Amino acid sequence: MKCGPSIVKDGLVFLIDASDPNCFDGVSGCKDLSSQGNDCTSFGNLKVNSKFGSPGWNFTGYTGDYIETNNTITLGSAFSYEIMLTTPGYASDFIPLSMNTGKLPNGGTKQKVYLLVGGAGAPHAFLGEDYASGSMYPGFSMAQSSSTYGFMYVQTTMENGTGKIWFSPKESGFSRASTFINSIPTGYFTGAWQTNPNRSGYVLVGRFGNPFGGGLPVSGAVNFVRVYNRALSESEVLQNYNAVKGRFNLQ
Amino acid sequence: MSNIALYPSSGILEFNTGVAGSLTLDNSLSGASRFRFNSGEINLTSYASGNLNRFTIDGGQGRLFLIDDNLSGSLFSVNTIAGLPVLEAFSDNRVILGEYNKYNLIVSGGSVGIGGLPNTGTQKLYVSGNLAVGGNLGVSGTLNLGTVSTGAGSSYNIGFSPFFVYTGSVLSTGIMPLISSSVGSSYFIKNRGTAVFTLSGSSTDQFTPISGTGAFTRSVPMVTGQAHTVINDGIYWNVMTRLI
Repeated sequence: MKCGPSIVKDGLVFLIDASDPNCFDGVSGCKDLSSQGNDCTSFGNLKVNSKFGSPGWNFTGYTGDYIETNNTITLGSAFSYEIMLTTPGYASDFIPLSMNTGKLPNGGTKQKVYLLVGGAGAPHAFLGEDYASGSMYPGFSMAQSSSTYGFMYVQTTMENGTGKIWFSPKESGFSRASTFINSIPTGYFTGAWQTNPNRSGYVLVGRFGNPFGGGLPVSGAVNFVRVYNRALSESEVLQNYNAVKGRFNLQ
Repeated sequence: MSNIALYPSSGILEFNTGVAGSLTLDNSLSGASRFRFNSGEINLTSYASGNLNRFTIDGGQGRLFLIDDNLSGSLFSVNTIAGLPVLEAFSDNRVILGEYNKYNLIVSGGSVGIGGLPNTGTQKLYVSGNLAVGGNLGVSGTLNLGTVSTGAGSSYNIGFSPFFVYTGSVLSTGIMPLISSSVGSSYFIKNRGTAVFTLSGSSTDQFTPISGTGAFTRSVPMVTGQAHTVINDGIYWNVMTRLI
């Protein structure tokens, strides 16, 4: 028996949730990020450089907003990313979640295990291994067939070289459409994903690292982010979805 | 496919996976939820393979209440909106309250931990951090004030244990805790080594003799065999020296 939403806790290494006054950074304990107001410059084990407000932390493109851990997190060959993007109308690709190789604004020349979301046409998600010098390295993506997108709930899991993405635009339900490989619907990606086992870095939300003025930053709001050091099962993915779907009127 | 079947004579209202409009009940209850009147009792039975949830209530902010068909692991929890428990009971008799992963209060194996996990083999109550007692503290058994620390190196921070014994053969320094952050504390320090061990105050903290009223010095050397008891009165470290 459970009262209130219940998310999967086993393997949870990072969590921020704008709807919870006791946001949890997953590194050293619960933190009240909401009390920091606007333009926070530092906060415990999180560096928050983002305006806080409903329905989430707001990021404004190339102005340098971001949330970053002060400690590194290491992911093995199995992990899960989960993010809720709560501002509609994304016009281009952006990277809302990655493992940065160094702390901003000076550190970090590339991103490891990054999640790219967006697209002017059909929204899509892309989970990549490394992003450096404008080049994208092994990854897989899933295009969402619906042309209606706004609130975007993305879950990804990776285990033994097999990646999966679940993608839910607002009001369209929790789609379990085929996972696409580089937009080709042939199944799960099983390629060279494990060629770079070093996946240790600072969790970075809202943009990716150097060059600080460029890249693919988020223009919008992020309500919550979760990172697990293992791949969630399909039933666990569904559990996490059920825990929040009412909050965002998802089907 | 879903269907609602009403059997008034049997007191049954059933939601099942049959053809809509059918009055056929799912006798195996393999995919049905059934309200049943039984001599005054209202019974709700739910069964579905692949879905452990039996009864849920959702609100505008998410899931408010859930009963599932799982009797192992986490049995009951009350969660924040982010989905993390502030109260959770487990099938192995553990109960945890407070911020997730902080062990604000945990009951485990007949022991209680505050701020950390208790050693269920030796402790009934474990407190990690400071403990303030507003009333009297009664002890019917042995009162153990802490472990004894020993060292033979060149520098130590005094304060991890109320007893410290130096056993080395090189000149060494023991740095006391800040007076302002340890008012009322006391330490017994012994030099059992073969070289001088010197106590030193943190920052500008000073020592005073136990029988004096003013500042004594910022450091107190202890020759071999010497022992001090030092007591923090909020202003100075009061030193009681014993030469053996």
